[in-house]
Amino acid sequence: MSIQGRLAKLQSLLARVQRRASDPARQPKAGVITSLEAASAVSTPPGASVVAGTATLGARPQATSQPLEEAAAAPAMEGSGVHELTTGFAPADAELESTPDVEELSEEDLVEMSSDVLESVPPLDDVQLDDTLDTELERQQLPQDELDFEETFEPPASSRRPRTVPSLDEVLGFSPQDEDFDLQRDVPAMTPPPESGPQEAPMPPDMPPPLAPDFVALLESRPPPSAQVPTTASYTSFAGMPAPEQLGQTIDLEEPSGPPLELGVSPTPSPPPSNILEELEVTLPVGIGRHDRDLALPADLRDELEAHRQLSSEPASAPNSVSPEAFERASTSANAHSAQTASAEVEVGRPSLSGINPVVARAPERTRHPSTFAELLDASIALGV
Amino acid sequence: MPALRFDPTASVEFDLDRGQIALRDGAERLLVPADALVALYESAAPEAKKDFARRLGTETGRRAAERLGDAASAGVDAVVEHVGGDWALLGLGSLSLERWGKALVFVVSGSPLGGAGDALLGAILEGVLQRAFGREAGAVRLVRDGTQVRFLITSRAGAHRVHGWIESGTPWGEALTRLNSGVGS
Repeated sequence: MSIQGRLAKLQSLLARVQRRASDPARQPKAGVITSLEAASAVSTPPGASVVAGTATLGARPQATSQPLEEAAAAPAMEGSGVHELTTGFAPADAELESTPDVEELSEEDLVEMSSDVLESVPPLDDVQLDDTLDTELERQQLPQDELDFEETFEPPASSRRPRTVPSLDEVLGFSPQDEDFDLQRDVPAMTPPPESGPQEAPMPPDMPPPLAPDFVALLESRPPPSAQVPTTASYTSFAGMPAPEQLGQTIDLEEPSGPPLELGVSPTPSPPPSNILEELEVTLPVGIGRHDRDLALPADLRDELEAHRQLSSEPASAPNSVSPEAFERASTSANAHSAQTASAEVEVGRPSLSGINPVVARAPERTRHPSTFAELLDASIALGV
Repeated sequence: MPALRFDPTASVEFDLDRGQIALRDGAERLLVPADALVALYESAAPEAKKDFARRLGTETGRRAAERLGDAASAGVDAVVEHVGGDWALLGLGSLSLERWGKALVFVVSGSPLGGAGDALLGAILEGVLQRAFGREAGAVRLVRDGTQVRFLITSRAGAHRVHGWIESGTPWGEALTRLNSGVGS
């Protein structure tokens, strides 16, 4: 393609860009991204040409973009290289209106440039770019106060970081107008802020979807208004009187038709005389506590009684040394006189122990003495074996 | 027929011209202080102590056995009479015998050796029994009450066991009871 052909193509491209830029609907709300042609038109001197690229606009408030018409009017030069220009500035509203959308550029807008054309382009440095932007800003005489960069670069609400409570030294060290006062109190975010906001949690796959409430059933299950418990307001409104809901239905009673009745105290009947004696003394019947001397003695106790009498009639010379012979003799005599003393005074005696020998003789065990010394010595030696 | 009574007549001969002392059988003796003998005994080696005590006991047992004749059939009284007589000729005190159950206990009273010579007395008794009756027995000191000391005659193992009980504080009567009941055997 010849130079003339390329130049014609560039001119057609420029015309299309101007046409689209004049469309108010295509103007960006906040000009953050602009075309490379606009940026290159600002930074490149006449005679230089930039093929394609995007420019990221940074924080450089004193810079502004050059009108696109001048960039388009600059003569294009052949070149095969690609020069990407990255610069940063905050565009004003005026420039943004004339800035075309970079997304509108198509593949047809790409123009190949030869290396000799790019070599003819002088190197672009920051100082030169700044001077160009300052010159353009002064030429348009835009007021600095109209450049509201904070609105343009206001961070989203979700990206705000929590701020720490400043210490007393920090407060005394900064003035209220100091901008770095708040910046230095930013707490470094440990986790990324939730940019997407609240999200709906996904439903578990095995859980059935919630059912819609049955309003008809709820209304039917609601108790009637009369059965509801009166509120506190209904109690307080009557100042201690029962509420109408508490009274219920009032029934009027008929007037009494009979004679008037009077209530009186009936006389209490006197209690019957009690039969309880005041004195607790009881007269015992005659005969209790005594015994009859003429009472007949049982036949089986007569012998024992006589034996006891015989023993008691013995002289008290040796009361503790009663021999079995004496005891037997006493028993025999007791039996002989049992009939004669049957009518005598009766006493209770211990049963007879005749025929029982309570003495058991125990002889000490005879120990065997050794007859010789040798036996004694052997026995003693054997103890320790 | 052995003599029932020990006759000490002319048992010791003092030859003042020659300056010698001898027993009836002609064996020469020395009159030495008892405390000096005890000091010499205590400073001697254990084997020397044992040999010295056994030698004294063997000589006493030999003389008693000669008087008793058949020592194996000699009665207790005869043995005490003759052994005690020779014991007295040595100047070791009065010897008597006690029976605590089956245990044989010798009692030595009035020994000039005192408490320090109890071990020597026990070893002499062992030598007497070994020489006169041919029994290997051990003599254990049960208790010393003033000038009287008791020795239990039993086997070597039993003597060692009773000695342990006495050293641990067991009363000697309790020790004899244990020995007679067979505890610890």
